[in-house]
Amino acid sequence: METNRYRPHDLPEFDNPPLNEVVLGVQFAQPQTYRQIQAWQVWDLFRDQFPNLEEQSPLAPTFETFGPQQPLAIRFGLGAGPMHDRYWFVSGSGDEVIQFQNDRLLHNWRKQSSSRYIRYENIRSKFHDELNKLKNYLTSTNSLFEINQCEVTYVNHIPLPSGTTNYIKDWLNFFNDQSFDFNDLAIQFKETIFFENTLAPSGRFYCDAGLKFDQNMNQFLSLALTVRGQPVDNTIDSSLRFFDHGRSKIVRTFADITTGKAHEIWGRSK
Amino acid sequence: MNAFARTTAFSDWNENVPMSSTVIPFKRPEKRNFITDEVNKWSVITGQKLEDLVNLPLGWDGYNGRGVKIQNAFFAINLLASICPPNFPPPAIVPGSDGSLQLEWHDFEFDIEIDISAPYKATAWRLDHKMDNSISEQTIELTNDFKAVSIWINDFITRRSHANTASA
Repeated sequence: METNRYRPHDLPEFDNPPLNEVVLGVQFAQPQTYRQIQAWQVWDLFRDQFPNLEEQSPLAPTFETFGPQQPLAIRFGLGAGPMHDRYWFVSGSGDEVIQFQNDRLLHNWRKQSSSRYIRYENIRSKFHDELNKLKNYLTSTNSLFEINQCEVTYVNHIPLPSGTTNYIKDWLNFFNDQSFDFNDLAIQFKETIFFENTLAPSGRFYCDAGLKFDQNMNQFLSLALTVRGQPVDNTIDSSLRFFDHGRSKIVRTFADITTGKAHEIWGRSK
Repeated sequence: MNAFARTTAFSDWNENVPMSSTVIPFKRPEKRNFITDEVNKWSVITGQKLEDLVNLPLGWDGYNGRGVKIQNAFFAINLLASICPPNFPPPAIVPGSDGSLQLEWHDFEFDIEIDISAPYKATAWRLDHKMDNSISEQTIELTNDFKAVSIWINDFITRRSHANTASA
């Protein structure tokens, strides 16, 4: 198991956090010589650990930009030209997925019924290895691997009694210990994050909380925390530093916006 | 008689309902105006243009020119969304043969151009023909923060507004 050398000593720690999914991902410039038919060769890089394949629609490029106007929801199609699929390379147990398309690589850990969270340090270590494999492959085909955006996401699922939201105050700090019986709940906020030692913005932190139902119609609170932005440069090392910074921001905010009572249940040890 | 004719729910006014003095009849408007989503005016036009430019055929310029790269197109939309107020005119868009693009606004007194060579790699240029006949030229290298260009955009709007007022 990877050691805790990337974990700040004062970072809050939970023995049993309500995590449902953790994602590390990069977006990179489309490699000049790469064609979709080579996706087979990319799968070969990871197939021993990820033997199953699924095809998905591609993710649109995203960028965090800054100015006085608020970003809009803009209708903009990807065009009628040829599009690269997004492939899921799925592990044998199904709890880890590599997502690949011609400008994205992501590693998801997702909770299955019996799986336990494998911890950020392990996901980071695996993704570091996968990034190196992809870089080496693209370099061998005379393409560059230039990362232009990084993303860390933690999705938490907190079970709630069905038919009432009175108990959300037991989990989230927003409600000042008051009970409210909502029909629905949607809380979103975002915050600019900055490059270390400068005042220049590097990306954004997003918090998205809402009520959802699982397959058995059991109500739960979904709390998705994301840090997305531009690394200092386009290298793998800078991306890893971005992930570490983003993970710290997410874990600290998670501890700040959830209640002490919840922390006891999740076994907060720091 | 259809179901709608038997109810007053879908009529603006029913002559048979006695009015109390506290009820103010709401007069039907002469015509119905549809309000379009002004917020998306420039973005819709720009989005359509970018889609066309992304799909340019190989060799569109008579050489080996390729269409605008998809990431550059998305970055351009993000950049514009950060700086353009809702009613700002959409830019002219000039594709580069290497997949880059240039956003341009030209007016009598102002030229603004933003050259996007890759996501987070842009150069903005402004030529300002001032009232005293002097010309000021500025260039800024940009990554993800476009506040400096938004000041140019505001100048552009202000100058245009003054010009319109003066000519009215």
